[in-house]
Amino acid sequence: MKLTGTNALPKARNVSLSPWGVLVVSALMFAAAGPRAHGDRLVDREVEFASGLISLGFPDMAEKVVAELERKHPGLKDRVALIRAEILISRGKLGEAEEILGTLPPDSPKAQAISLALAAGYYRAGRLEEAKRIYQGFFEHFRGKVPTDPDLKRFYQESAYRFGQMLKQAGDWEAAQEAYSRVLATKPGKSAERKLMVEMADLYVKLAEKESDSGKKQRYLNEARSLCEKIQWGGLDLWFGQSLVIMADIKLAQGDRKGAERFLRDNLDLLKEIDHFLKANGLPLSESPMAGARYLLGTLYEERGRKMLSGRGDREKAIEVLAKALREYFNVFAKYGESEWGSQAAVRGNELKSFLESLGRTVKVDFGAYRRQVSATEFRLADELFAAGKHDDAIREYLRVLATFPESGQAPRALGNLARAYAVQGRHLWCLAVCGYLGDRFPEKEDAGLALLGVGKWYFDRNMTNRFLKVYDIFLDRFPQHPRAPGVAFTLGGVLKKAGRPEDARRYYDLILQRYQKSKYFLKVLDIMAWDAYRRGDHSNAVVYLRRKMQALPAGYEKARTRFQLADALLKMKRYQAARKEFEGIMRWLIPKDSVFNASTVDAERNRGILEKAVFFRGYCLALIARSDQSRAAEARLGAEQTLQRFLVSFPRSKLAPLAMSVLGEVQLGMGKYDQATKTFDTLAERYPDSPEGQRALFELIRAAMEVGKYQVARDALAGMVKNASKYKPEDFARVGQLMLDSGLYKEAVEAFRRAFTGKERAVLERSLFGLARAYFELGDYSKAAEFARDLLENYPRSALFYDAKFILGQAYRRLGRADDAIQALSDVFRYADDGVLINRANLLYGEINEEKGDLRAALASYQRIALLSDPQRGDLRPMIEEALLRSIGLGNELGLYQEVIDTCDRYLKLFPDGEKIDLVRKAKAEARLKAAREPGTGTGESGEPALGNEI
Amino acid sequence: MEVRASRRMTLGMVALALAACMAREAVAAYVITKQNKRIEGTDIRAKANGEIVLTTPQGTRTFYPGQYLKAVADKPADYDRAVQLVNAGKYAEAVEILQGIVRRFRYLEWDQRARALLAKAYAARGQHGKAVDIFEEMFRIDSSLAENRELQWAYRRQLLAAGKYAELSRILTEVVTRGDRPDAARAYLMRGDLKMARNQVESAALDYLRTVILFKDQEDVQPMALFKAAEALEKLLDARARQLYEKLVKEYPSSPYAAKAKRKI
Repeated sequence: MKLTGTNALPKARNVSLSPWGVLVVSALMFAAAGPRAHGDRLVDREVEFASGLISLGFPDMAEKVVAELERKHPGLKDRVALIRAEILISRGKLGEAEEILGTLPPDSPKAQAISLALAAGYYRAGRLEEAKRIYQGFFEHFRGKVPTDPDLKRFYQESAYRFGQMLKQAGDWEAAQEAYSRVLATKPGKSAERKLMVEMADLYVKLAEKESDSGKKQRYLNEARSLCEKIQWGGLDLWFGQSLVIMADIKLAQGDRKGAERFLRDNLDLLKEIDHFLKANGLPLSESPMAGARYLLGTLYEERGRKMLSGRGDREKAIEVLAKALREYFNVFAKYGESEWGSQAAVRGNELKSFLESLGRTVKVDFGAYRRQVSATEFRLADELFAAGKHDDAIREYLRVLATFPESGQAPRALGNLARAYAVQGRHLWCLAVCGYLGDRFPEKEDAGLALLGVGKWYFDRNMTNRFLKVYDIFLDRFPQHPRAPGVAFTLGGVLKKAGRPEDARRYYDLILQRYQKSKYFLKVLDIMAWDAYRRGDHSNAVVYLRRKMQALPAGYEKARTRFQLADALLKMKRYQAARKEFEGIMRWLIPKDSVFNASTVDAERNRGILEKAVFFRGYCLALIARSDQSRAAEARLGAEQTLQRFLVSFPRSKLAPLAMSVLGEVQLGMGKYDQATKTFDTLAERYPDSPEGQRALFELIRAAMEVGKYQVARDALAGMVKNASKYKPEDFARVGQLMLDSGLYKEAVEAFRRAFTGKERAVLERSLFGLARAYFELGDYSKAAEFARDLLENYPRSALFYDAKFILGQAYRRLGRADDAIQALSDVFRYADDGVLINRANLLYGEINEEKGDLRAALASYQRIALLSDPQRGDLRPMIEEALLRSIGLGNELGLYQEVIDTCDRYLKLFPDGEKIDLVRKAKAEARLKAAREPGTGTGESGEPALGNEI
Repeated sequence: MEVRASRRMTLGMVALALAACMAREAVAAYVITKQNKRIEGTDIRAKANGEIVLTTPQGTRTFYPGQYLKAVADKPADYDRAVQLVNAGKYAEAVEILQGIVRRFRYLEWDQRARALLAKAYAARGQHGKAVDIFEEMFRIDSSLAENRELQWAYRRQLLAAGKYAELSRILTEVVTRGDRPDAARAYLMRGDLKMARNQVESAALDYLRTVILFKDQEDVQPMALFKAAEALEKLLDARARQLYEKLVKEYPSSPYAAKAKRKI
């Protein structure tokens, strides 16, 4: 049997970019660099720093450093590309790193550096072919030469060694030899040289074992022997011990089993010395050559024992030899479990044990003090099977070992791998069962939590949403204090939100708000929840979240900004006083020169913008308070005037300045300062002519005057417009006309709208025609009202004001006593409208007209249409339904249709139990009942009277 | 946020300051000329304009500014008392005496020594601005003190404590750029402290990490750098703070910072 056996399984790779991450940069960046200026040195240092951050596990910080470097030195693109590639590699985004590589000239040191970092990344990810391709390309570049620069040389050595290891694991021993030879060619130092010679001797033996050509085979073995002798001449150390084992292997390869066995036994004492040395110096026994020696001895004993059993030899002696083999195996398994022979010894030992037991022998194994190490070794075998993708075998091994060591230190990790193996096999229920068990039995163990996260990630990477949610829910439930719990909850919230499941996302966000207030996600979640609430108009909740966020933040720009958002939300809720207080709070924070909010120049710069807005909005809030609360109007206006004047002095170039001036004008009007107000608006037009407010300063004056009820000012302003009509556009007059109309100044509205006719723009003309129709109607000039309404309908039949015009026309005709024309006008509404409000409005008007005509039944029918056919759940229809019901009751009584009255009353009582007329309706119902009782047959339909509805 | 205040100003600073000022105490008056010649006298006084009048057995000699490198008088009678008071923590009394020495022994070497002690006393009393002024006066008088490493660091600590961030920032940038490795390592650390004082926590963390990553050879400052970096990360609620505490405990187990880190883990 062989020492360096074909039974060896691929081992877990522990390649790390550190410290080579740093050397990648320094070696290839500074090779052949001459003396550098201070500035260059600082840049070099920052590049090295960024690389070091990646190695230390801070790729996010490295990104920031790189971004700052790029900002200050735009010409550093290539060097920055290297760091960015390293960041991507550290995050496993190898494809993206390759893209960066593709942008660089292939021969450049930077491209080489990224290449090698990529190779290491591929190697770590188990993508050996890709790693191999890169290494081969790199070494091709150095064919026949060795770098002399010390950094480059070190880097070359490390890369060649790593490449050799990779090739060895892949079974390409010749190529591995070549790679090691490259390292040797650089004269790496005594210890490294001896280690390499051992590796090479080992490879020669492997090659010999594989070789069928006897000449070649012997040459390989001679090489191996020659290397071993060289090592042995060099002194007694670990490598000396390894060379002894290889010598035994050489004998084995030559078929000399007895010689190999004897050689090993003869040298055990020497190997024990090495073990003592390792123990005395606190070095791990996993490095001891004794492990390999005893394993080999075990295999030789086993082979001999089995041969004896199969022959005619002494059975008991055979069993004794097998027992010796077993002892060797379990010794290696127990004492040298961490070595490369540990798990193989475990497998062979267990197999041999089973074999002996099948021969009727009782085998008792007591690992004693080594029990813990043994369990670690047992798990390792299962781990290796799992890492090799042999999931069936891995599951079997894990179950076996967990049965023996159910709650050992390795159990959580093993359970996590077991769960993943089930997941790979599609046995999701089993996987979930194991996850649940992990959470139940190991809730205190951080690595159990990590194991669960590994399973969750497996599902996550495959977008199996419901499955990963289940696993992560177990994690969050059973490991609430795990350091990664807040991050997991946050990620899940984000994923679900993106998937259009906001309510599910909310669950995780709420978890963070309740449980993880000290985590960095707390503020992020508050931000998200506040913004979501704000966007959907739920300002009340937005305020809650923003307040909490503000309280949690330290002094600085972010806190000021959050307070501003809070004030804005309050403003949207029309809570002007509360909003004002917040804006004032911001001003108190930011105005003082030594404010802690402005500790950094960056923050101070950004805070200026917030302060500007806060001052404006404080003034604006006061103006709004003046508008909405008469009891505080005087005080509020005074405050608003002072604030807005201060704002205009402090921030004359602000984008809000025109609006501030407009509001100031309004406030001054409200204070009775007419001259000042006029001057303010004049200044507005003069100083900010390009702003919307400046362009319509006079309009703003009128608007402001209307707002504060100063109608004469508005009239005077309009007179001023009329006087200088050529300065104003038709739409200006139309806008003013609308203002006048909305404020009930109908004469002025007429004047303004008439001026708007000079334009040609359709929207202005439509608006003006309707405005005139409405204004004349309100002034009682129904003929003119009808005239303009007709004009609108004839010239612009598709106008958005079609229905409004129809109603005005109908009303005008009604007032002119032209009921039929009125009804005709309404018929188009019935014909074209599909909106319940419009139809009901038309029905009401129709009913009124019919009442005036004396056609009470027709009127009643109209009202009943509303009462019976409208949807009472619609808030906008309910007032009309109520009106219609009340009118129906009145008309029903007049017409003597008492049953109808009773039914209508019932309907009213059902739909409007809290209605204002509830008492009247009850009374009407009682009276109708009485009347119906006294006059039987009336109003029931059975008496032959046509039932209502037939006339509809 | 931890401000490295002058309360930690070490005795070493005083000793070094003293050494910077004078190699050995004078037992009599003397002047060292620009030609490096030492001229002994029996009495010495300084005029307000910096002229030194030395009484020798041959008569009086006057040395004008520029003609001499150093002028040294006998130790002031109350100097030792001042030292005792400073060492005993009686700073208020010490300040009074030291201010007198500074006045009376201007240009005569003892003023600089007294200033060094004055700076320490002010620092200990929390009067960092005054300590800064004293240092700056010392450097104006003796430009060679710019090379005195520990004195410069003591001065920088006072700048930090006094909140003179702009000036300190300028100085540290210079040290980071041009200083030798020990100084550059400390400059990054102090720059981190400055940024912490200004609530620029993330930027401070980066400066501490610069010391950790780029100055591994400066082992004496590594524990502090690791600890401060971890503290800054903790403030940022970054879970990797723990990783740095663990690294500190593992790699520098006997450092006092490791003991502090253990409590955090």
